[in-house]
Amino acid sequence: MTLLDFARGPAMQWALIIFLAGATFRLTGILLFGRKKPLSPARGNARLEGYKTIVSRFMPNAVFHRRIGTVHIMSLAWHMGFIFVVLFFQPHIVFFEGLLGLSWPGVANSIVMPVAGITLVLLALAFLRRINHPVLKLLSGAGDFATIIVTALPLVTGMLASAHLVLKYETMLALHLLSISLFLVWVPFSKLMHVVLFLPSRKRLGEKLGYKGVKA
Amino acid sequence: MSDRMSLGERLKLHGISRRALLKYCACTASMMAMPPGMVSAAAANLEKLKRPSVIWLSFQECTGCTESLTRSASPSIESLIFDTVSLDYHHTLQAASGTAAEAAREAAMEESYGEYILIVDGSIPTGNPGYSTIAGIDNLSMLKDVARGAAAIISVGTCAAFGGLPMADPNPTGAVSVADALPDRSIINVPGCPPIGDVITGVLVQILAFGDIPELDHLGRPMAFYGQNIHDRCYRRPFYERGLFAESFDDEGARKGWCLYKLGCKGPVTYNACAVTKWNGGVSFPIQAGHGCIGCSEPRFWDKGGFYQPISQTTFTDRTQLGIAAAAGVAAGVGATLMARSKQKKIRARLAEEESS
Ligand code: SF4
Repeated sequence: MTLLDFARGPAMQWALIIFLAGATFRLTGILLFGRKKPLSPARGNARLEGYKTIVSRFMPNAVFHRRIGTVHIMSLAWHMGFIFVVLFFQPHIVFFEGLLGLSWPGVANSIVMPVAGITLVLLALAFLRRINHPVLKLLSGAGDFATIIVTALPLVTGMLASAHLVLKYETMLALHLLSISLFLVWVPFSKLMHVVLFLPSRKRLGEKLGYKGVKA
Repeated sequence: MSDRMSLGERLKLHGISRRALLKYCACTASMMAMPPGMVSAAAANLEKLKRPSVIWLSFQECTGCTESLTRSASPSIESLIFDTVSLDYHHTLQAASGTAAEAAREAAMEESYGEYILIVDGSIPTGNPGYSTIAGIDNLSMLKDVARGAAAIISVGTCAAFGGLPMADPNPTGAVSVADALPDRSIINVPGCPPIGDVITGVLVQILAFGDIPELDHLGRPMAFYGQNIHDRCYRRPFYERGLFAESFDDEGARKGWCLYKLGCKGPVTYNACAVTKWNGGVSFPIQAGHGCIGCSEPRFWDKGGFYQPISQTTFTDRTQLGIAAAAGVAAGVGATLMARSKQKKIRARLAEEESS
């Protein structure tokens, strides 16, 4: 079995199994965990606030614009770039089609590659900020840095594989697939779980505050 | 034609000038990335060449490799050079059969012991010696016997080079490649299913002209022919970069000659001369004919998922385990929640008790 055979076969299969079991376990636990019923009557439309919060949290609250506006935009751009590359690079669509049976139109490599490059630079900036910012530095643990590395690896290996650089294509493709497997395994055990949790947690927060009549 | 006649004399007899031989050598040298200074040396060596003995052993194979070698579009200098080789033993091409054929092999081995070239096509069964025999001799014994006196050993075709189709899962005959059967010998692998005829003769010419083994890659393949990635040399590559793919074999993309990646093309992970040397005298190659590369010059190409499955897809097909994993995650989540809730309840009850007392 070559490295690529291993990466396309057992490695990806086990990574998906761990990801699915771990992510559904955490998600179910969080969704079902009992919360105290509010004693006061509702002072707002909780459900509507929940949905509104999902959208509104994409931008920081106006009062924070000056302080964290730039960082927030960079973070948003990084996430959008990452999702764009994952979803619209043609070989990725083929991957999802094989897995889920669903397909959608992709874009040319000449568009995906620069986006991937910019995305990687933004991630590097986030990393630099984290090690230089006095407060962030104190708040960051080994897990946070590991998460950045685990997220950067698929981007780096994917770009190198696509450009046929450094190693032979099949080796780079195998490393790319292995790095994706590592990413999937890392999700349930780290803050990368926000990939799954960001929607329900925003909704829950919006509902909670909306119930009390507060705009989330 | 006399066996003692040199290649130079033979070419003259066929009206082929020295200039044409030099041109051929220059072409071969450039294909093999040799320095230009080697051209005249190669031509001189070839001119002087007397019929070297070649023994061709065919084991578990389909004769496609021999077909590829013999189906040249027109008589070429390569074919004349190949005529110059004394093919003393080859099941398909020799006139003799049975005892006479085996006697020819033994005579050739005795006459040119230590000098002959051994070419093998087909894999060697190790599960049971009786699976494949020639004149009552099992393949492994014959290979070991003939290899002993060979100056060079060339595995022609993916079956001989890597085990090929006979070795495909579940490998019912216990097939192995020549390299695995002869671990202490260095083997030149010329894989492909079949290999390009010009590549087989090109490798042979290099051995004959220079008397040395060409530069090989990590799989024992001559770099001159197998150093190139099909995808890197493919004329459909611009369509790959632009994201234009044929989705089926008869759609608009296929008619317009777009990239065959989505139809399972293995060009990006395959090393061969198909996209450069091409087939049938440089006429075409599979991708040009509209079919994706199946990666036939790579080890275990039969067992790397379907021929029509794109390489970015996973090779496991059973999704049940994924469903079970998700269900198990949900079940464990529910279980953990119930346990936590009951613990929560107990704590609340205890607190309430403590408050009331
Ligand atoms: S047809 Fe195959 S080798 Fe050619 S560009 Fe497409 S994927 Fe690459």
